[in-house]
Amino acid sequence: MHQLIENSNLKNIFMIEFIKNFADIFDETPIEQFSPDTFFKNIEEWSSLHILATINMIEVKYGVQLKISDVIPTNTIKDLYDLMSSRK
Amino acid sequence: MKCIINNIQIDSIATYLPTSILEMQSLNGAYGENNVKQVINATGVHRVHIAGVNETASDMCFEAAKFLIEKENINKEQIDGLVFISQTPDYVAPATSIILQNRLQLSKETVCFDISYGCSGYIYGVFQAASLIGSGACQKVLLLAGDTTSKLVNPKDRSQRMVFGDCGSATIISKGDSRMGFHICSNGAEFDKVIIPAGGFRTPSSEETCKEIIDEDGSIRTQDDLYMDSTAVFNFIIKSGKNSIDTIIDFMKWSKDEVDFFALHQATRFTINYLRKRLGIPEEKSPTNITNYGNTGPTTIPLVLTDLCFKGSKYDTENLKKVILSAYGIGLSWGSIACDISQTNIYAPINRK
Repeated sequence: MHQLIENSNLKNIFMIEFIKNFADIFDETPIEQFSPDTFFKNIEEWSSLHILATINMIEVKYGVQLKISDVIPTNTIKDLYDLMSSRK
Repeated sequence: MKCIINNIQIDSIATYLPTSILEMQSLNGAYGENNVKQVINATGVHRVHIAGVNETASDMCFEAAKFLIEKENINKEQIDGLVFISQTPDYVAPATSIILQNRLQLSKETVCFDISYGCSGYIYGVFQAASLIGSGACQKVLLLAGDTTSKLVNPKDRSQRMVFGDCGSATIISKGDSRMGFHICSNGAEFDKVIIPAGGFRTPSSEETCKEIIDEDGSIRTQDDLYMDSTAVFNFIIKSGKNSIDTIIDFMKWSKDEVDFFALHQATRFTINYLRKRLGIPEEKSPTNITNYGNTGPTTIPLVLTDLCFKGSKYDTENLKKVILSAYGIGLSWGSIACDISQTNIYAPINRK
């Protein structure tokens, strides 16, 4: 049980870090607007260039190479995080 | 390639903007208001200057050079080198630089070069000019960089038409008492990431190459038009830009904090902002001016300098002793220069609104 809680906390820490990295791609949207459930394509600032930056961020920060076609079906930041985690 | 060339200086810089302006919002009818808004949000480009039907890159560079020679009261006999950087020369042959030698009434003792580069071109031009002086071959070199990229883009290619603008520039480089550091790289394995596939001798223009192709984003172009793989180019800029800037700063034994100004190639506002974040450099040290001019190929660096850095401005040249110039583009090719422009005379762009 203790191990489970520790794992859960660790996952939260990684997710928070992931959200910070993702939010850093944006210039105008404040970080408070980002959560695991955020539908990132609905963010006003979102553009096709943000897809490229997302792929670049995930490669640089997590060493995972994604394609545009991998990112297109995702909707929430949690989707992106799970996609990245599954490719590690 | 890394090197330092001593006893060299950039004397002066001028840029020339064509008078015709394309407002992106005027394309609402052609591309749809939402599409236009989305592209503007991503690129940051609201308008670009467009060369006239009969106006060439050499015409714009000629005007910038004429202005600079007059303002700086330069004795034309002292100019013994001319470097013209462009992908839109006057003719397939002969070299446009030689035509410019005559138009500018420079001495016949002038050595002239055409160098075919796009967005990274200014870096190559400064290097070529500095090399001519460093080798002892020349005393004063006129570097002319300019392109009419709007004429390489298919009018139906939404993504590129809304990014590229036209401009010409003139820079005088001569013997001096400062030094310049250079870092320049090439990767021909990715030659097809930015390319005009037809029209050369590998694939001459034909009925076949004139056929329109519809891209997945709805942009339309032929093989005779400029093509750019946006995904590959974005990744290239971020990786090569960061690597080159880190490399030149390390090579010069500078720290990022002591750099007074970063003149970065203006690809798109988003790309510049993202690169800046990856580099960890503040916005006030690497401003963008892409809103009014777009991506002007080999002139984005002189255009940033002439638009923003002049005496009495926020970026008064007197304070710009440690400056990084960095650009990346077709080839693929990229590079950075570390230089001192505190003694450089920089003039506001001709025809700036």
